[in-house]
Amino acid sequence: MAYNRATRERYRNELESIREAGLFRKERYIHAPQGAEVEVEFPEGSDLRTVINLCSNNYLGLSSHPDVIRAAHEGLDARGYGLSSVRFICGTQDIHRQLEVKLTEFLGTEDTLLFPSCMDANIGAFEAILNEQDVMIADRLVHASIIDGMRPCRAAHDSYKHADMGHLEQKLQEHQNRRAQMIITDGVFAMDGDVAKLDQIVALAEKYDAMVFLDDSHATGYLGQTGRGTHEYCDVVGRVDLITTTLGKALGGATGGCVSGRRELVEICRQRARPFLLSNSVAPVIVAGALKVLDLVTNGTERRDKLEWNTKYWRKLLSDAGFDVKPGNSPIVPVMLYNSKLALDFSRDLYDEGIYVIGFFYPVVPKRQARIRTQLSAAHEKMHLDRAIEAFVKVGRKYDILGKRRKEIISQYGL
Amino acid sequence: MKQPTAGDRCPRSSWAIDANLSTVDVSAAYREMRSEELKRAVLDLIIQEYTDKSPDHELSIDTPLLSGGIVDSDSIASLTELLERTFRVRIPAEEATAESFETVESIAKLVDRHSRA
Repeated sequence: MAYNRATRERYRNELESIREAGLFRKERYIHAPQGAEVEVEFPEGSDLRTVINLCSNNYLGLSSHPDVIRAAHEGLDARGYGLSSVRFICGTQDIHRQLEVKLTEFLGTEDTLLFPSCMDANIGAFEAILNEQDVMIADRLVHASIIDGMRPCRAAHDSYKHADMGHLEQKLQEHQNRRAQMIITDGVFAMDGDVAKLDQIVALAEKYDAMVFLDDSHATGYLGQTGRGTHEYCDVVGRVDLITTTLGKALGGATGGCVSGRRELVEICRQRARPFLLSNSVAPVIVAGALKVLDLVTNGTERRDKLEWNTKYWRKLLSDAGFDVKPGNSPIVPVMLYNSKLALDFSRDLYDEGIYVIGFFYPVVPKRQARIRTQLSAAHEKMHLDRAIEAFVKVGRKYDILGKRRKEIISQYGL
Repeated sequence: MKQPTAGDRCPRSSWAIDANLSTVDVSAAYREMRSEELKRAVLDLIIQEYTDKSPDHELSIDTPLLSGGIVDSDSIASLTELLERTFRVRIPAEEATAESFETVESIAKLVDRHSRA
C-alpha cells in the first residue's frame, strides 16, 4: 500500500490523540557529556540552559569519567569501530570474552553472556530457558521489558502483588506440579526505588524448588557493600539463578546488557536467545570502556559510598522540607504528588529554576500515584543538592504542598 | 495445551473448590451455576489477586478495573491464565481485550461465554 493521503491522515490522528491524552513525549537536546550539570536545549531551538541533572541513571558518575573515555579511545584504536557481524559469525573478539569473564567475577555468578541491551536480555531469556511445562511468576511491578520478554515464552504466566511474599508463596504452592517455576523480580524497582526482598524470595525459591530471575539494572554497581547489586545487599550471592543487568546505567551508562548466572542457563541463552543471535556484537569501544568501568568499581568503593551519602542527604533534605517522599534505600527518590497535572506543572517549574527532573504519571506509574522521580549520582556534589532543594522548596511553596501528605494533596488537587 | 490440575485453584472461590472434586461433573455443575455466583467468584478472585488494604480499593462488580488503575494492563496475560485455571475455561487471545477486563461483570460474561462453548 502506498503511503497515501488517507494513510498519512490516520497516523496524524493517532499522534494527535497521544497529544490530547497528554502523553506526547518530547526529547530535550543535551549539548554536553552526561554529568551533574548539563547544558540543555529545550524546547527545540531555544537558548541553552545549564541545569542540575536529577534524572539520569548515572549512579556512579562514570558516564564521562576520564579513565573510561581513555580506555574507550584505546579500544577503538586497537579493535576498531564495528564488527559488521553477529557474535556467532565473526563478531566475537577477545575483549568480549574478557568482559564476560569480568562480569561473572563481579556478579559472583558462574557465567555471563553480553547482549546489545538489558532489554534484549530480558526479551530473549525466558523464551530460551522455559517451555510450556514451566511457569513464570513475576512481581507485578517488574520492568516492562520483562513483560515483553514473558509474552513470547510458552510457559504459564502468573504474577504476584508487588513485594507481597504471602501472595508469592501462595502462587508457588499453586504451581507445584510444574516442571520448573521461575520467580521474576527487579532488584531495585525503577519507579518506586524500593529494593526487592530478595533474601525472602530466595528462601521461598529454595523451599519450593523454584528458580530466581533478577533484573538488577538499577542496582548493579552500587547496591551492597561492594556494589555487586541486590544479591549482595540481601546476602544471597550465588543463590540467584539468573541475573540480567545493564552497562547503560551505573556501569558507564553507554549501552549493552547481559545475562549472568547458572552456567547451563547462560549457555542455553547463547544457543537460543533470539536478540543475542540476531543482533550485532556490542561495539569494541563500549566493551573496552566497560572493562575499565569494572576495574574502577572493583578497586574501590568510594563512588558507591559517595552515592550512598548523597542519597541519605537528599532524602533528609526533602523530608525536612516537608515533601512526601517514598521511603527506601536506593538513589531513586520519588517525590509523591499523586495528581498528574501537578506532577507535570511541578517538573516544568523546577526546570525554570534550573533543575532537570521528570514528572511521571499514568500509565508509566499506577493511577493516583503521580510523582517527580529524582535520582542521585556520585557525580553530584553537596552544593548541587543544596541548590536543588532551594528550587524544590520554592516550587513546593508555590503549590502549597509542603508538610502535606497524600490525603491533603489529593483534597487540594484531586486525583 | 496445559492441563488443569488439582493445584490450579483459587482458594477463595467456592466454585473452584467444587471443581476439584472428581465426583462432580464440572461442566454440568458450571452450567447450572447462576451468573450471580459467577460474578461473586470473579469478584473474590480479583479482590484476592489485586487489592491490598488501601482505601481506594473498595470493589464492586462494576468498578472500572483497568481504567481505574486496579488491574494493570501488563498483567492481563497472567489474569487470563488464572481465570482459565480457576474456571476451567479457554479464553482465546483475541478476546482477552481491555474491554473484556474492564469490570468484574465483563470478566464474568467472558468466562460464562466460554464455559458454555
